[in-house]
Amino acid sequence: MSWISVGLAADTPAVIEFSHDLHVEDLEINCTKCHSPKLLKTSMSSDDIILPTEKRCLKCHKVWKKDGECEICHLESEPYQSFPKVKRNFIFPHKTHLVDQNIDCSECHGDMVGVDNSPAIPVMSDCISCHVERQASEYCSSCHENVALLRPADHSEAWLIEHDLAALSNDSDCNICHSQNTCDNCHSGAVLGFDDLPKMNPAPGYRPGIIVNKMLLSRNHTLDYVFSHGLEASTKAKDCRVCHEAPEFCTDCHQNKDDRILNKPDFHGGLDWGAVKYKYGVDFANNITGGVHAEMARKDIELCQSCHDVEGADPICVRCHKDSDGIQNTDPKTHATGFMKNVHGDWCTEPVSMCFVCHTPDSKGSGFCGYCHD
Amino acid sequence: MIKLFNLKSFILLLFLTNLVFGSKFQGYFSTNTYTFSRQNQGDSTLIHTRFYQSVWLQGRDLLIKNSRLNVSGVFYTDPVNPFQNESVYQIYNFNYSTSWFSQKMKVVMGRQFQYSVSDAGRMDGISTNYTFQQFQLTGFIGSYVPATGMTDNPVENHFYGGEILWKKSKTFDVRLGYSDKSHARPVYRSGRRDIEVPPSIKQRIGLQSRLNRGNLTFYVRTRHQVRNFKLNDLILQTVYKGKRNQRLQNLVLEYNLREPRVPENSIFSVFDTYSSQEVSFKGRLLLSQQLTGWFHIRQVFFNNDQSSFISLGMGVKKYKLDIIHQNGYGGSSNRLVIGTYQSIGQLVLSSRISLGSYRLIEGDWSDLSTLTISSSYPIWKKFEISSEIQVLKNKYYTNDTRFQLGMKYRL
Repeated sequence: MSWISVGLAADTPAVIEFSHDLHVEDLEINCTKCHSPKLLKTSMSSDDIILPTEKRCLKCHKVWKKDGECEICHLESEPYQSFPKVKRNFIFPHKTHLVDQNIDCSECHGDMVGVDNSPAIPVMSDCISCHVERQASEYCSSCHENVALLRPADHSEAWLIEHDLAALSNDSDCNICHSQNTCDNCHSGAVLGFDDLPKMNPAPGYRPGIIVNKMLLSRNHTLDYVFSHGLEASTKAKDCRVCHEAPEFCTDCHQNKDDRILNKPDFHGGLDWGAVKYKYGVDFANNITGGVHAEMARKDIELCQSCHDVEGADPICVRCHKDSDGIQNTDPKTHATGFMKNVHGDWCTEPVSMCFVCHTPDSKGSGFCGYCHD
Repeated sequence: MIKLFNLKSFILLLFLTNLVFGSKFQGYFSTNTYTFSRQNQGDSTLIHTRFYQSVWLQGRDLLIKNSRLNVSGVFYTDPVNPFQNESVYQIYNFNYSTSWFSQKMKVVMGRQFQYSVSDAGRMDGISTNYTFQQFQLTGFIGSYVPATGMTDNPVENHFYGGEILWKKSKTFDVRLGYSDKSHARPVYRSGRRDIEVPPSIKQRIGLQSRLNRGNLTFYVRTRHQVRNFKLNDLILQTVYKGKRNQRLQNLVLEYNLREPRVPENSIFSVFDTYSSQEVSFKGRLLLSQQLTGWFHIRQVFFNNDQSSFISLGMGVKKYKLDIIHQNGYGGSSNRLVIGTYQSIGQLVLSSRISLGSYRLIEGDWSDLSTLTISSSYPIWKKFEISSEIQVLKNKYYTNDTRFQLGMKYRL
């Protein structure tokens, strides 16, 4: 037999010792024998106290009071107090559910057997599944008095980074609050958010994890993001491609317009930039050549792509990396070691192949084709 | 140019559907106006004004039971500088979904997003999923819609794939998916030769698994190119989630291996490319009943280089403080951010001040500070207004004030 302590909420101190196992399961007493049916059928507020009064308990336990055995039920010492009033911040009319919809107590509260130190308030997912099934309202504001105060504790600022794997997990219940529209707000590359998220300001006294600005404009990026976006890209702090179609998106700003070079990176140029002709930046011992530009490319070739590979075939590389004499291995190195054995491109089977941006198609046995085909 | 949607037909359809099924719709319309500045030449700046309208609607049980019509889109204009490579309107969702067999089978038709373990993207097409016992099967096929929203070659833009989820128990599941995405590129014009660049094709398989043991959850996700089974990325993550009121709320340790995303038919694909690896550690602690602290440390390892991100913060009641440091080959920045909010009845005011400095090249540090004040107020239950003012100070924008005003109407 499990005895529980009865309070009014999980975090309020218990004042009465009570066993649902004994009353409901062993003695098969109906809920309304203790919980006033009159009150249940008229209650329109979640703040209403629908726990039994002492008078109702004494209908069965008169002897205990007569013998002064008050401590069997009362956890506190005299003078005994009434249940304190509580303020719940959700809307729940018992009348609507019990009378208008004719729902049985157990549909929401279960059989109450083994209920542990809790008023057995249903969890939200149960409410929602029933509302969906019965085509009742699914608006947050139908049950929550102030949707501005809703925010799960784990939804901190870091949640923006953490949420992806959780969202794909099967135990996620994102859809309780979010529609797919929430995902699309960011993942579709919208300039501004729709503000479909539950209001972003945490409640007074709520777990003070984060205050998230309810700024529409700064949802995805702050207004000063133009100053720091390059830095975030280089630290990989954000994955730009989640929303933006790189590299076309980048070239809106990072491209030459009217023969002016806009936003050319500071590290471009200088004697050590190319370093094929010059010795700067050449590490012959480790077979690393190409100067700074090669080093940058090895580090983060996506950075090069953001400006140069705008439409898949920027010839900037070909200016130096070309096979002008048609003799293998006599030109600045381009292909990775073992490239022939591990081709990643569309190779030379298509006439529009990328190979022919640099190489001139020849017949078998000569020139570029003659590398392999006799 | 073939357009699967255009603005006039979209608005007409919205009007008609709302007229016929008006009472079965929920959602909202919103409109925003905002201004911002951009450096023009030298010290001069240009003020831009943009208008941004959005709509989100969901219709329920239209025509048949258990069906949904989902519509979301935006329309934005810049009267001074019209957009070049982005559409002035975007339709994110315009699909009709229905389910059968107690929602075990679902079909979605029209413009929709697919979030698959192997890839993600917007498409015009059809998707379906079916759940039986411990398994869920998903399949989708359609014409891929790029992030710009503009599709002028729906035939060469395709996106199809499938996924199987095995949910062995509440604590263990495995997800395996395959996708094939093609993005047609514009015709390339150059002095050397004009070529019709073949579409960028991405064929990938993805695998994700989750194992929960008490407070700990282990994730692994990997994505491979189908061709040569080349690795795209790998994520290993361990999450500790504390109980309510426990001092340690959560800890996340993550390792991420990324191969550069170079299109297969790009000229960059012929060069040696190097992967980057990231180690990340973050967490949140209840320091007291009122005080919460959090941290986030990230280190990215490149070939012969590293970049770092360190963030420390704390929040107490209505206030929060963040200290952020970033350093990479693109530069460095240090920021101090203080935020607060106040509720006066239904009026919510929030403000944030950010003080910081950054450098793009060695030794060239510049200050950058912003002050932002925003508000929102529901005039009545269905109608809300919001506004925001941001003052920005920088060597280019010495006294720049930006403004936003928005309205939202809920159905």
